[in-house]
Amino acid sequence: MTRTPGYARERWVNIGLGAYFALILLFLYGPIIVMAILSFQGPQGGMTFPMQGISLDWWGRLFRERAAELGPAIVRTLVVAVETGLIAAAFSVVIAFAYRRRLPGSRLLFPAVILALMTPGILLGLGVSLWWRLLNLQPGHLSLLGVHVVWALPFAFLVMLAVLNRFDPRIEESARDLGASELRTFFEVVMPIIWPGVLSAALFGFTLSLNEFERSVLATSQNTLPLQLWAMLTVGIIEPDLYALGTLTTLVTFVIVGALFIPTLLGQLRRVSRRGTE
Amino acid sequence: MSSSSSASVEPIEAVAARSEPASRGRTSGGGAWAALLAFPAAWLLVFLIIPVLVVVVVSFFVPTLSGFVREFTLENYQLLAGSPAFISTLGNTVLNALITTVITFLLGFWVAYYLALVVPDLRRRFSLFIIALAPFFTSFLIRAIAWIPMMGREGLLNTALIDLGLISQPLDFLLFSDFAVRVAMVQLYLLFMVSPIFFSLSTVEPAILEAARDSGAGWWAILWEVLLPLARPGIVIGAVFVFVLSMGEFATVRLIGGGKTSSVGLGIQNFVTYIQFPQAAAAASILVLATVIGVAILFRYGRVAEGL
Repeated sequence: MTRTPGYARERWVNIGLGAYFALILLFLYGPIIVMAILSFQGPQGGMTFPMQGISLDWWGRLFRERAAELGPAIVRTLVVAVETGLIAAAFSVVIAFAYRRRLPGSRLLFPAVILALMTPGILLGLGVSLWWRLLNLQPGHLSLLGVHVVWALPFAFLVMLAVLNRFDPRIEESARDLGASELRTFFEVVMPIIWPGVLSAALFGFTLSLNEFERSVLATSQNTLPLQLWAMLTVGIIEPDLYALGTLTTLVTFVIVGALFIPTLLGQLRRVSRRGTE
Repeated sequence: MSSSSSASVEPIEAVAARSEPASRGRTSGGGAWAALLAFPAAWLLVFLIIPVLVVVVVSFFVPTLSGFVREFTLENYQLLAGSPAFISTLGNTVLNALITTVITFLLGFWVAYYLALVVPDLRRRFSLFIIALAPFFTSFLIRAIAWIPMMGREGLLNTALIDLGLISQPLDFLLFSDFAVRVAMVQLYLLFMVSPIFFSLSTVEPAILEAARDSGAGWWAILWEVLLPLARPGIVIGAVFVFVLSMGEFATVRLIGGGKTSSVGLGIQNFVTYIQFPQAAAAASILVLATVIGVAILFRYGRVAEGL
């Protein structure tokens, strides 16, 4: 450690920044936590404090009364999310490999992927719905899947770039030098090494699709869970059972994000540190 | 894109460049990948490029009661340009986006600084980053309505302020207002600002800071003359993300703006509800134009292009 004259002041700045970071976490998580607490509101309670007792009443109402309208939407949401995850992961592998080798076309695809990240959701949804109209098609599953993959692809691509960044190309070269074909090299040598990264990319896409709203609202005529939620929020009366629903979907998302990051984080950092000590 | 300076300027490019095998050229085994590349390319064409172009094209179509007919007109743009309500909505959208961008920078820079430069242990650094990042994956709608119990008339904030004796009447501007929308948007998009700055600052070698310190630079001098210039590409990319996303915002505006505020995105959605597709398309085209101008200014001002 250096002990220049500014060192003590710098230390205090750092302690202050730690406290500041805690406040930012409170800002990010606070409303979600308050919402979770209020979902256990008593039967007579409303959308804000004070709590009129503590009960599972609103959770019960969510499962009893909302199940019928939410059920089909949940199934639809899960189907699209799984498809989005798989397609985004497959595409991201292809683009990342092509990009890594500077194949013709990959240079062009890179700005397109960044454009996908930066196109406002409402514009994309409107565009797809208008295009479908021009083609005399009814917006539905395919148009919805289309915009979800567009949204998920940039994130999956960044994950794959990070994964390939740690992947030693000599392994691939050795396999090919020993006479393995391109396909065989990929499936028997490359894939077993990078599959946790591919899984991460797929889970990324799955999670992003699960909660996607702004692109979806105009892109389909069939409600997904966020679209159903939007309808409930904008048309009906808001009651604490929506807090229960919000808490539930948030929990599910956190579980997936945890499953997504914790193993890869630990694994990859271990690999990095091992390489560092060699 | 020059290869010499791009590594320090564009983190995404840098990652990509490093992932490239140094020993192999562009020749071997590319055929299969090049063919496979057609699939994502076609997908992006069908679901990204063409939809955006269709919006521009339809904005010049003549509106009818059931949608539009394929005849050219400037009527949609003339209508919007002559509407004081639309002009003020556009102004409000740009203002909200600018405020959100500036606030996320002021708040987010220190988060990135703390994570990248203060937290010593690599694993702890990334764990904290992911903890901060995790809410981004949850539903934007849920995060918007979660502000209701915080900021409502009987919400946590008003109750606390009254209990502390700071105010006697609940503050009405906390919810269903421009203020509420801005607070919620800052919360929604903060991590889009933090992440690129975090990655920029993470590439700063500790030796550079040591050297600056050894040559007598104080904390402020290091911040202004070393860290901010190095973080600049990350700041510009973060600002572009936040600005673009805030410009398109409509769900948050609808849910906690309480009808007292509007945005172009919400206007687009309303047009669609009334089957006024060409007007929606024209509004969307204007939104894109305004966004592109904003992004161009950001890049110009941020001088990121110099390094690319």
